[in-house]
Amino acid sequence: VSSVQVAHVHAGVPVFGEDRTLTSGATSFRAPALDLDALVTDRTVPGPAFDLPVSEIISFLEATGEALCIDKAGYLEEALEALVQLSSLSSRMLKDCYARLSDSFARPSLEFQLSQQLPIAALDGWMSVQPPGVPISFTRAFPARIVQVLAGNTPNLAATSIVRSALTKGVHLLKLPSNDPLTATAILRTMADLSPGHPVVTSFSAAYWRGGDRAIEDILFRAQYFDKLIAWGGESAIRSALSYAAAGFEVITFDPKVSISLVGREAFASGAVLGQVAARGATDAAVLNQDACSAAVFQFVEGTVDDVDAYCELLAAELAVDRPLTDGVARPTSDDLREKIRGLMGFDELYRVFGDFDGHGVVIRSSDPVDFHPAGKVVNVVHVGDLDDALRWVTVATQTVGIFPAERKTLLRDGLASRGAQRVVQLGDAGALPAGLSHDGHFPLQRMVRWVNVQG
Amino acid sequence: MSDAADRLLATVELDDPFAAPSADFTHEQLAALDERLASDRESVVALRRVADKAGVEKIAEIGDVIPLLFSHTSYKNYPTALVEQGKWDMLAKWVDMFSANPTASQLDFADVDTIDDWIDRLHSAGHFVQSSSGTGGKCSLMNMTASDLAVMRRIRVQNMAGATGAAPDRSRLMVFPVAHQPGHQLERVFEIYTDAFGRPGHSYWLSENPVLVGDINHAGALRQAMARGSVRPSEVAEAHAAGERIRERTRADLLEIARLIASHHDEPMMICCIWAQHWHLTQVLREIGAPRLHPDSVISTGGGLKGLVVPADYQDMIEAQYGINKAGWYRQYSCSEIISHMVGCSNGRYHVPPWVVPIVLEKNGEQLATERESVTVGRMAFFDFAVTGRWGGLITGDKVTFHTDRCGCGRRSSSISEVGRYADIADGEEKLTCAGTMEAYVRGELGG
Repeated sequence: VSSVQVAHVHAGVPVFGEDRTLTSGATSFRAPALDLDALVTDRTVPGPAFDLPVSEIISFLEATGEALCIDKAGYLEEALEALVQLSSLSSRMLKDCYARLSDSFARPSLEFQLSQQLPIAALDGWMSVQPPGVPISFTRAFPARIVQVLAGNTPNLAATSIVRSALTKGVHLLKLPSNDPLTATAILRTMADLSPGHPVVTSFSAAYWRGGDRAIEDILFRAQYFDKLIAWGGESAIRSALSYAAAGFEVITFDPKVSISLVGREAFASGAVLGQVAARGATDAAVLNQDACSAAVFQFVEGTVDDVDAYCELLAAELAVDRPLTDGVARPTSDDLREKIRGLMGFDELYRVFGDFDGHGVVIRSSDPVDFHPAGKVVNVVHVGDLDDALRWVTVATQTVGIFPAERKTLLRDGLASRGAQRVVQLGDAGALPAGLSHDGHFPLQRMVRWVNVQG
Repeated sequence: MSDAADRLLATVELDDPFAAPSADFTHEQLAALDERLASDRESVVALRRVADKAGVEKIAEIGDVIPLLFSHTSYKNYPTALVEQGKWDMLAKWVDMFSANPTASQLDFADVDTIDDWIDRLHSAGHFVQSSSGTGGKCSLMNMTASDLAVMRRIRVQNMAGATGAAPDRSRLMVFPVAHQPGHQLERVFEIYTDAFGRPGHSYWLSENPVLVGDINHAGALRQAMARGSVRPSEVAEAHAAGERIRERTRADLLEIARLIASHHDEPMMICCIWAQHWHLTQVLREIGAPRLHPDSVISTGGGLKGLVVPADYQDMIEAQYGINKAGWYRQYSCSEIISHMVGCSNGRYHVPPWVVPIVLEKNGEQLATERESVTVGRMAFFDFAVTGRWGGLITGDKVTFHTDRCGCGRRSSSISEVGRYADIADGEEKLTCAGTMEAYVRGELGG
């Protein structure tokens, strides 16, 4: 049994301790005692960054990005070393993710996010507005107090959350996830070293408790302490978070989602094209070894069964390739899924299974989506006569739709959006969501503030 | 059937098949396992696949059989599309993969419209396919042969008579407070009890309206359709109304059967169902002020509470209403994927018969769990020699405490106490990821 030390952060100050030993699966954590009073702030006192100009925040975040690259104190290195024991991702992929953590802090990205989601005038002060027929009024994107239940499937999520939180100036408590209780605190500690007592630094607290522990969450998740709760999927985490929704206590969810690919018959133009399409299909299918909502676990391919089988064969081979966001060999297919997939074998007219259960990846070809949920590098390729036929499988649960060839995005996008899809990309780009674009059907920065008016 | 397995099954005729130490049969069990592997790997495609893959040629010790045990979910892994699209020959082919007499797919399915028609068609050709209760809206489908049914009869009658002292003299009133479910293994068991113990013309079911496999699969199909967004609100309303009608009807049926029990309270009867149904029935008996049962009555129970919330002393409450000492109840532990069952004793344990090989595994189902001072805790697996229509090895989803010492009831056979389901046991915090499923977007009565 491995043991990992987890630090807390109280208003920007790292807290260490081994008062509690908690186990999660095969790993045990040693964490400081949970000081509930230190995790909430006094509402009569404005948050430290409420009046800090956005320009200063951007400069500080940019400096943080540079500091993360250098990692002078070795916080990231230390976190990475321990994270390897907890994460389902390989150390190679985690290292890649860590190397890109600073990308989230790049000035162009920060400026783009704001330009898309929040008028700086409303964030930095009371923005004047002129409703028809009444005196001039003022509106402000007022900073909020937010508790955030983070997910740990990728370290990038900690960086994204910290950046969004800093840009919106609020007071934040980060609930650390059991599969990554390390990255967020490593970033916060880097920020604290850069400028201890900086208003952005002191706006953050972080702590670990067992997710869904009602004895703790029932105390903390109240309108009197926080304006909002941000919850990242898992299904049960979202259900649990929603149970606390109340007047004055908004719950913002990043839901568990399912993503798909649509591959047009153009893929079969030549062997070379098909090879490239299969590589793109594999890239999208196995984002974070399928521990991500953007991973295209169902792929609808336009063509004859023989065409589609040719694609499947190449796809299975491409799934076994190491990529920035995929391990060529991940964990073996779960027993439960193996059983279900074996149940399909022997029906070659209806189902064909390609690949292997040993972690290289499995592809199932069928004429309707299978009645179980593929996971852990298992892809269900459904052959369709026309991509339009695939639209009936697009639902409220659909997040990203990757399309080949890219030109067909335009014809398909309205139908996809109408059925519930949230994001349309070119096949191969599912893994990368540029910061600033809408996320899960909304603009997060707009929802992380409280809109307050002063009427004239 | 193999010779060694026959000898093991013959112990069912003993006065108490559970009296002798299980270790006395280990040698015979290993021989029978090896014989069964040799014959079944020829006929059962699914077994041949796993045996080839695992490279298992012989069973010399119990560990050899572990990679050959089927998961308890195996028998419900058929593609739903086969049923939805009426590909009956394909569905038969799927069943054949697990069958020792794999000839079902050669039948003519021309007149078959529903899965229940399909089951009838197989039965008429000697493939006695059994279904399970269909938790999650999908029934297991398992092949049985005529000889399996005969063995099941022998075991059921002997065990019941041996444990309760009830004579198979066709004298009793038989009460099954459940709806008919044709093709379900429990229906077979109740038929066997009725034939052996029941006074002809005096067996009573909760309802003569059967619950069909098609109904259960339909519920699952409706849920999937909802996930796809292709169900209209009026259809949801109809599903809710249908659910409400069934609950009302069940309530009325329970009242009727409770009145019948009350009016026959002075005759010995046999009431067979799972705990949850005993609870519902005794609640209604109490409401109508029914008197206690005749002291020679037999109460048979098993299964679980199926999510029912009841007071901690619910068993005492059931006992008080029936007026039959619960120490004498017929209790059993089994799973629908095997034919045999473990029989409850006065010490609160369930005893394993000689023709069942109990195997306690680590939670992962891959290694034998470690025994400490005659106690092993782990995942229950069985090899049941009573099963010949398919491979008899099965891993359950149950976490058990397994004993090899002499039981407090005096028997020396291995026994099981404390049965729980791994699915109900929280194990660590959820690893939060945003990867979701479509089913998660379906709420309420449709949401399984």
